[in-house]
Amino acid sequence: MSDSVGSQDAPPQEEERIEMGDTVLEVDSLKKHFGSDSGLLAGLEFDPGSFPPFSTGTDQVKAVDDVSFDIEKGETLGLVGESGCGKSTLGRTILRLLEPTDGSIEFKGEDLAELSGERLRQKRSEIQMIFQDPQSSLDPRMKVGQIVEEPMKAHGMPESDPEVETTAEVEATELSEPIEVEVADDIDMVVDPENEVATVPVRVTRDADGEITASVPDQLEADVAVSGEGAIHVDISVAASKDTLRRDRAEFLLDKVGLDSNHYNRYPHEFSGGQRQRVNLARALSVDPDFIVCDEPVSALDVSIQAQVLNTMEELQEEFGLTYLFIAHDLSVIRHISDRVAVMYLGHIVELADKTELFENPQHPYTEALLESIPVPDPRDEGARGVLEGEVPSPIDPPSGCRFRTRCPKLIAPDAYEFAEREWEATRAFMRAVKRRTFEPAHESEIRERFFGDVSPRGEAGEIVDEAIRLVAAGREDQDELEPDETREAWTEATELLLESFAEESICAQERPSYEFESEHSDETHFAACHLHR
Amino acid sequence: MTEPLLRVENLKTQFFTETGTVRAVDGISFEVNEGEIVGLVGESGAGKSVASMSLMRLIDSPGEIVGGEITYNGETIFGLEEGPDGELREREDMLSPERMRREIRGNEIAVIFQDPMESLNPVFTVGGQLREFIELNRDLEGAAAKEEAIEMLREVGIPDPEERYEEYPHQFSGGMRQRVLIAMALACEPNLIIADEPTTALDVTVEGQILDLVDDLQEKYGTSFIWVTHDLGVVAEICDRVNVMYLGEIVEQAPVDELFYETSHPYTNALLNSMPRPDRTVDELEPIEGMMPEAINPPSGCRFHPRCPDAKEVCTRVHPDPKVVDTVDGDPHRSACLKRDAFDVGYDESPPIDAEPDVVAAAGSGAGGEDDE
Repeated sequence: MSDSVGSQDAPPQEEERIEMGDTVLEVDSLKKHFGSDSGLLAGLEFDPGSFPPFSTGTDQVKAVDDVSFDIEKGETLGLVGESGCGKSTLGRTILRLLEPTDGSIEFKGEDLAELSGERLRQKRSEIQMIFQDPQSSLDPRMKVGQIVEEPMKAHGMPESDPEVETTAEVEATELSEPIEVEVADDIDMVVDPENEVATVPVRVTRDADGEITASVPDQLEADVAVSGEGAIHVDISVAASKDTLRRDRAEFLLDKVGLDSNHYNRYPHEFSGGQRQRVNLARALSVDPDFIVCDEPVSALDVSIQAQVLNTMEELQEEFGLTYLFIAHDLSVIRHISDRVAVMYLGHIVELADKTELFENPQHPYTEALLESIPVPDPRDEGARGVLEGEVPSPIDPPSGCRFRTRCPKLIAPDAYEFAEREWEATRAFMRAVKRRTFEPAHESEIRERFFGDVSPRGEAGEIVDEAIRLVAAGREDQDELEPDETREAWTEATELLLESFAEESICAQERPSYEFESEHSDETHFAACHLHR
Repeated sequence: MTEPLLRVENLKTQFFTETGTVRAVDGISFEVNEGEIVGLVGESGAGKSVASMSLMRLIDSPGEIVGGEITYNGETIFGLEEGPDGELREREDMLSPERMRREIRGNEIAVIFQDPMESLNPVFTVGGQLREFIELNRDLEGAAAKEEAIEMLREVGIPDPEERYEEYPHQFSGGMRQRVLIAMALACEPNLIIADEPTTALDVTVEGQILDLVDDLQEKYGTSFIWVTHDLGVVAEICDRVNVMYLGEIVEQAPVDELFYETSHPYTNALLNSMPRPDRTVDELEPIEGMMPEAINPPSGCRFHPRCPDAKEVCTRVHPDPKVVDTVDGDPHRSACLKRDAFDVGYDESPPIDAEPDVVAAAGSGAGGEDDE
């Protein structure tokens, strides 16, 4: 917690001290896959064509697939994406609430993915989480005070750190006698240590009756004894029980998060949504964490309440030097609270950059589409809304290469054919319309007119397009009336032909993009997973 | 200007609960013209949904519409008159429940709800539900109704509608389900659609798709909309005129551009200042102090005064009804704030209230006062 400057006096320690701006969390190639079926025999697949006629492969939902990023102490990394893109799974995997399938999570130099048992449990006091629904994350039968104290109890807090030395700073007024102070080892439960030394300020005075008294901060007590030679002996120890200390801290935190310390004895149902989220904040802070994963903490709140909670979160971050991973789907909230922003799509991070850079100079077509689709609270805003086609594909069998390519408005033309820009645009639109069956069967010329207008792809590409149009066109020459099944087959055939010839041939389908370049609006590097930057 | 499609005058809806009477909607008046989208904006608890359900007379016990008049296209949806012994009774020209059900709901006024999963029956196919709806409300049967249903699904942008007709609601994504509900609402070609937070549960990209769809459909069919939302971004995007509600009342009513650029009521202003913006970085949000009081015991005078930065002593005494503060292209801009010149109640001379508004630490919902422990 403290700002240590040149800690040569401090005893050597296992953990390195993390300064503001140093990397506190480093996630590398993290993967989290889920088996899509559950049950005893779900993993078995029957395949009569092979021997043995069973296989045990299951479909894997690749919720988080090869994600890497790091977070500096004191910063807020925003994580944004549509529902189902894996944001929450990523947050939970970092906390080891879910077992990572692969990859590492370095937290303060220790790999959380490798930890287990007691060591992991202890580590959890340094990383906390705040959930979306303030209602269901609070036990309705516990008082708010108990809720806030619970994590402290679980971690045996307050606890004295044997590494920390204790000492006192004596201020004596009008006393000539020598003063000897003895400080108990465990006062670092009450006094925040600095550079691994907890220092208690003591004031020793002689009162009107000639008695010598020593005053120490709350929760501590000082015994004063005067020896025969006139020397003053002060003995400082912790006065309050651990229960009292926890209660004091809970009340202190309730006050910090904008509630009242006399809310200690209330039940969660007595609070509004915004206030409940504040209780969650106090609970997360109770164990003095360094890092908090906030999973959509304000999405269930009204705008005006949302602003109050966001402001409180920022104040707390400043005061306690917290690091946030802030997960949200609302880009306005992300823009407000984050320092850097990561955009996720279908288990991958597609863009990561400084906040201003990302919002002012987005480099991934998905980020652009997201930004364009937010309704701006300004009726004079003329920005055209770029509407994204289709829906997020299934994470069981995600598209190869760039996962966004099936919806990308900027899918790159395959090198194998010679497309002029407008020809490719028309072909791409036609290909997707056939795949999604968004138009009714019409006559060949109508289809051509609708999708291609005055352009027509030449060469081999042209032949493929002609073939596809012929397949889906109504009133084909070879048959007057097609059965519904045959129509369906023809559409499928056309779809496969187009996808195999064009979409699968594009660089977007063949290589996973990953490019880094200089930012326009900041010093950080800008990461974008898009082949347009090749 | 011609007669509006829907006229609501001084509508009051109350809920009679054990703890007292909740005045959920307390005397609101607004109009919807043909072919326009009218927004109903406010935070949760403002009475937006109760107001929109009152228009359909879909208020169940313990709730009741206790006053006001709702006129739709010349028909009286709700109206009271004074009986011989001074009691209020329903007027004779008010539509009977039977006619409400047969002629108004679905046919003339349709509703789209926020949660599409709850509005669709999970054990019937999507197509079957849509076909049934068409059969009940229009003179179409069997194959013709099915054809129409498929046509509607295609119309709202559902890919491969013949195939998806046979699927169940759980096989549809949230956005697709919302499209099905829009198809259902449009199936009887109503003149007015009440959309109650229809995009709130959706992702931004899907929300964008739905807003575009509504834009297109509105152009094509000329349907009027009442758009209930808490999102001022959506309002700016699609509404023509806006009503801002606070605690059961309309505090400001204006054409959309006017509302954002000539904001008149401090509540609207506070709402605008408390939102994080997608289009620029705001360093410090200005939250509205405190939270919305209970509608069971609203503050005296102007209901916003305990949270209002501009509140003065007079605001605690005088209750403002919305008055016209400006007129833009024939559309009135009404505001219910005593600051405005239209109210001559001595706001300028009134002393300010010194007491700080009761901030977040106020007692929570349902709980008693501060000292209940």
